[in-house]
Amino acid sequence: MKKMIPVFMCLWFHIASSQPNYVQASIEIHWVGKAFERNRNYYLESLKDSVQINVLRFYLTQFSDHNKPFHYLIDLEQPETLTFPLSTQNQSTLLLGVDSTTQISGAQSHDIDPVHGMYWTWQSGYINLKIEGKSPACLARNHEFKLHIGGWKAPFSTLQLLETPNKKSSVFVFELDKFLARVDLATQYQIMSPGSKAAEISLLWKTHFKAAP
Amino acid sequence: MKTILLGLSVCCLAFVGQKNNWFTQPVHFPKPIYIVGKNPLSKEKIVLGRALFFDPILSKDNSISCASCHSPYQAFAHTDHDLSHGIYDQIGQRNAPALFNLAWQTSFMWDGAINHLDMQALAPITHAKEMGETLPNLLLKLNKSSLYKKLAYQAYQDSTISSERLLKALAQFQLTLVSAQSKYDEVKMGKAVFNEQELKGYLLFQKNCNSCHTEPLFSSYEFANNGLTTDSTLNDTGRYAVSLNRLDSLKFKIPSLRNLSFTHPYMHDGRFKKLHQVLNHYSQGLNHSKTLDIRLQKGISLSPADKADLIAFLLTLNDKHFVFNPENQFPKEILKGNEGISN
Repeated sequence: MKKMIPVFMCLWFHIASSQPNYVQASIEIHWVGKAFERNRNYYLESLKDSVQINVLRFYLTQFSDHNKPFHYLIDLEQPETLTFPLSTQNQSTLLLGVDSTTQISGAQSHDIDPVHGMYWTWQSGYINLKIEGKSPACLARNHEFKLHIGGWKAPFSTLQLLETPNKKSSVFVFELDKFLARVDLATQYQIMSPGSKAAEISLLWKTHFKAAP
Repeated sequence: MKTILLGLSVCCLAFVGQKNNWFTQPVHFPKPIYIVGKNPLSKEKIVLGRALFFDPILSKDNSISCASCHSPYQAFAHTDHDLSHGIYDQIGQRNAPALFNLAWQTSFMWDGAINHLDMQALAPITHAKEMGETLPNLLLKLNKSSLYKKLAYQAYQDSTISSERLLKALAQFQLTLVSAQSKYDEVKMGKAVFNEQELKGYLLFQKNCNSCHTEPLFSSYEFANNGLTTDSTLNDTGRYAVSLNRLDSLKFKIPSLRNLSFTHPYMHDGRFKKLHQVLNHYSQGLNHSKTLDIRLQKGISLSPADKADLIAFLLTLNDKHFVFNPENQFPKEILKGNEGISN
């Protein structure tokens, strides 16, 4: 039997090492606990009016064990982007936004290709969160609001480390109603550059983007 | 084993050869900032980048190319124009800067808004007052063009032009724009000597100018307020608009002093047409605003003779080998007048 121990150990090591290092994670966008739908009118109590979201896109960065960043562009318009391979090894290093090293690394492709309209051309940097929509309460032209939240340099960084206390969770929920309830769309309807307003909104984003219990 | 060693040797030789052939590191220059290894230069990619640089296909109405405001005969600046031009005869906000020695720069544009050479081209391509184009539409035009499909295939063994390929090819051509063959450079390499007046000017330069316009690039590429009054028609706050730090108000990137004979007018708004106007500004015309650079607080005392000597030295920074290098000119063998057309 003793002679068999190394064999069992090898077998155990083989099984352990053949376990997948990734699980399929999903992102759910919620409005009062239910799945949110793009281009549909919702009532926002804090605004005392209806609101409609046409564009909701954002970046997630996941670091490999060797600290290599992997970027995912999440786009509500493209449901297939609402899932991504989540490392079971290193979940705690999930970042909302594109990491600062990538922001200074020049032209790249795939999800961080500037062709996706998530890169500011007039000032280097990715738009980490883009929300565009309408509300009659919004004082902007055509009652449209545009929140382009970006910036990666202190003191106005909008990069937010995602807290994942439950490391087994592979579902993340963005509580959009609670997030928008804390943004005054009547007056803060146009944020399109890095700065203090963008940094404040990124903190709200982090607060209402959570790993499901 | 011999085969492996031989293979490694060939790889190493190829790398060294490629580096020497397509990107010149002058011996008296510091280490470049741009990491060439992340965008390895090749003849075919530079050819693609050069064609793109000179082709107005990059603009919305196929009328404006990079070279429209960055002419090779003017050290890739826009002589005689104070502010840049764009589509539909629009005028921009700033003087088009000269383009050379870009591999040694940490940021781009007068306010340093762009942090990587690869991404710089996106700014003029998409600016409404410059080329006014969108990236998706530009890629559509390029991928319909038989010329660019061919050039892309030669460069990447694949005829598709992606934004990464577009931007990296443009960066490759611009990386080859190295200006390091002026009389000053020859003096530094022991191949020439300054005359008496140039030498006096060099000593004045070292005493009064070198801390900002640092040798051998002739810029520290820092941001500084050099005491210009604000042009009320532009109200340009410079670096402040990018950093949102009040201490950066009215600071602009310090430009290189190489090739000054070709790059007038001077300053971010092109307000000075002649070098003597620039020197008069530093000796008599400084505006003492809150963020004026500490090195200019007492002004620069220059006699008329000093100014003449200083200008004599500055003219030794002209690099005719660079300005008239046929490799940097319009690629007539490629574009043949079909530029701007999706052929």
